[in-house]
Amino acid sequence: MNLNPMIGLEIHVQLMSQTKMYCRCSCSYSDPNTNCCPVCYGLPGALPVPNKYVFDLASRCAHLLKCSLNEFSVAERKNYFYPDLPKGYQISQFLKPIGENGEWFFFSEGVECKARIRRIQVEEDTAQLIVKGQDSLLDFNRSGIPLLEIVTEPDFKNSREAGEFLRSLRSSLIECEISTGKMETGAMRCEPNVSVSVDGRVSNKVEIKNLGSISGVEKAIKWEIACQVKQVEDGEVVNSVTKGWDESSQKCILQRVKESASDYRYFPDPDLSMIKTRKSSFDVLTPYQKVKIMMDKGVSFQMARTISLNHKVFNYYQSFPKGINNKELAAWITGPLSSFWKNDSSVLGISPKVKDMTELICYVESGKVTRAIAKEILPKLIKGSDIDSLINALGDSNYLSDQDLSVLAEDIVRQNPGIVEKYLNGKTAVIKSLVGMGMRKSKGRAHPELLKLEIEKNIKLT
Amino acid sequence: MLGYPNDFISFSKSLSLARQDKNNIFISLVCEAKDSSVPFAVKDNICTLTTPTTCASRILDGYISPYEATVLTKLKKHDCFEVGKTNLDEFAMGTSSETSFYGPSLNPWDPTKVCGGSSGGSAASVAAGIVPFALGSDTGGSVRHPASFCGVFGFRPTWGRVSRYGLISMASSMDVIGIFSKTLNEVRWVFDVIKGFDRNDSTSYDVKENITFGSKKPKKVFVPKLKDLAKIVELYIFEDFEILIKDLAKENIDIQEIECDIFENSLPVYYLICYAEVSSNLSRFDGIRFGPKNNHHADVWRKDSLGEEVRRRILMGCHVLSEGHKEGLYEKAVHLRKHLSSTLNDWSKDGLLLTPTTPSVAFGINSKKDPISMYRQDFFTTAPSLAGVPAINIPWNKYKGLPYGFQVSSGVDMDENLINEALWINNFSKWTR
Repeated sequence: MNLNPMIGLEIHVQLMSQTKMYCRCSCSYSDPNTNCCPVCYGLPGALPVPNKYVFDLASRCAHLLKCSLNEFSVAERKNYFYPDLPKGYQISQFLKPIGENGEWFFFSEGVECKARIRRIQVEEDTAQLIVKGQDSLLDFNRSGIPLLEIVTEPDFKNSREAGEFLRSLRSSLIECEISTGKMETGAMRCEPNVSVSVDGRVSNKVEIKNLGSISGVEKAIKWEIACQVKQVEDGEVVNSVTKGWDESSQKCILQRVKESASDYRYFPDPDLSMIKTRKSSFDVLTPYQKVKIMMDKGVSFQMARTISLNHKVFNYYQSFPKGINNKELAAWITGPLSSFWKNDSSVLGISPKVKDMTELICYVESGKVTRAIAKEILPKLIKGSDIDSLINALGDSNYLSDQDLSVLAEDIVRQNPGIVEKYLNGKTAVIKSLVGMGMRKSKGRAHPELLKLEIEKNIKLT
Repeated sequence: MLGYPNDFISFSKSLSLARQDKNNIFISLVCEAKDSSVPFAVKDNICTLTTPTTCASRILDGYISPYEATVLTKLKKHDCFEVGKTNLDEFAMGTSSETSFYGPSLNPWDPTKVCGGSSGGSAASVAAGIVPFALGSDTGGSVRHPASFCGVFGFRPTWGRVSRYGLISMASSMDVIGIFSKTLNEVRWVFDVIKGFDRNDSTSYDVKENITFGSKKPKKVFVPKLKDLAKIVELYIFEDFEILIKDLAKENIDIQEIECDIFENSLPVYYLICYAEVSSNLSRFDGIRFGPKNNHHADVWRKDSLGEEVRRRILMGCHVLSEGHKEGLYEKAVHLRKHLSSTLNDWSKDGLLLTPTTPSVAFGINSKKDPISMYRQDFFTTAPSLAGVPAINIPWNKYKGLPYGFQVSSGVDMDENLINEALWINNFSKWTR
């Protein structure tokens, strides 16, 4: 079977603006219908007044996604009726969006990928429709919140690629202060569209809505591909429909059948003049570039990926002196430090101090401190203790004495005759497992190099 | 037949006396007004706080706006007080003020005739001497047309010079708030109060000018070719216009004749753009957030509550913007509008455009049934609207006791200059008070 899924993404991002897009109301979270004015309610006679900062943020995003920027961007009305749309039209963009024809590089499972960006545009959010029993309630706090819509070409071949694209994009949107990227609050929403080609038979495009997380996006796409493949194989026609992801049943559920293409009767909003877009000079490294930089220094892909997805973590990584062992540093960051930061995100990328951490890594590398001991020291270091005094306090108890080390080596050799025999038969690699046992037994206080020598000495003695 | 003029839909709370005795409005006004304050009337599509804002439509019957239009705030600061809200064609769509949900306004010169539209009530209230000035709105001629039928000055400013915040939109790209008064001096005074940038209307702006009020002779005047004009307007208007041209020529003013095509073509261009914007602007009237409480679906409610002309324009607008028709209708109209706009603004560099305002005097109530013949009332007024330029109706003469006026228009932002030139041309007017 020759299977080719085609996945495109439509991403809505709430822009990080204090005030709404076409009025001066606050965008902050508040009790229903408290951040509202005649413009938000679409009252007769109210007029939109554009928030210039929103267009600057959008231009910044166009720059990030390497889009060609339309110097004069046009706000157009998208006309349709819905209770959550107070004016009966949404001020959006059509012919001249902020940016067009961009691209985004990213890694998926260690492989370089590229997605083409069709367009990015700004539009106002609608009100929120809340159904409570028999009643339909409307909260206009959301009405007019600035949104950025990013539309990709159908360039993703599987759910993982779509997910990794979103993760890396989200990270950059946060770093550029374009959006909070919080999917759980709806600040970032994604609607994938999926079609498959099975042995040349192509299915119609299915849109999936209602996705609250990136892993949800991945699961929904995976499910939808499987569903469509089965349909195509069974000779069924896949209809162009809209589905919704149901978290409880882990299935895509049919929401609505598209009878015909909607005609939104776009036309330039006569209440607004053309918008002159200012070019952005906001440059950041994308996660893709970050991964490459780290991998060049010998960091594994998995670790580099993790570090690249949070700019604060990456900046922390970058602030270490050039000579540092990057592999070791990456291991510390993705290991003990990340679990520490998970508990206290306020010190993410700030604590422990780079200087202290550098010294600690040097101590471990030089063999002065074992990794296990270093991990034990870490919490004290974070609390602000001085590293030198911490190391000094360890005294000799840090490592096993020579005598203890030889006793340990002797014990291990005696207790593992089978492994020793293998070693003697030429499988010298097994020494590693003996050293490992010794490390565990000593709770990390044996110096691995010295222990290895001691074990080898002991084997030769037997 | 209505027993009273029906100029007003509602009266300001302080004028409860007037409400009880509609024939005695003038007297009650004198009682209520402070010595220093100036009363004025407001077209009922401009939002006010103390009186309902209905657009003369059932869909907004009794609606009280929670905010007021910028022009109202500015006028109040200058010791003007709002007397009441004047009648209009529903949502300002019409040229007779007959399509109002509250019935037609009557012409103060003859109660069997219409007062023009759509700002008919405002024009009539000034003509009848109830208020010294009134605010209207002009999209395709809605200030100039009733001003001509009622015999008052009606001024349409450059689009953008007066804030539209609080004016309920009909066709946003042409809507402006205009002024009615019996003298140009008062027109200029009101304009000076209401003009200028408003932070609530991003299309509004300030113009730095230093032109004081005073008569100014124009250098050049563009007029429609007389032989074409004879086919368009009534004979009495034609004759007066011919006399005026001769008078102007005697004053050594350069007279240049232009083809009437520009007006003939403006009409369809105007209506196509107007329909398109109307269809979108009126979408918000879905009966959910404001207007009378109802339990109907939006489509049923709109069908029941909006008048025939309003529904016609909405439907036409949806058609004009729909896929497959947009290119040939809406986009073509936008293209032609640009061309027309540059032509008019080019002329204004040298002089004025002078035309009759209306093709006739006021017609009888219920006498025009066909929408096209109603649309043709806008023959001379839509071109300045499309170009966004200022234009004024000068009350010129009366025919069988009914007034008619002439229109002068110029270029973008030349409002103050136009008022001065209109003042000069007004010297030739046969209007007698």
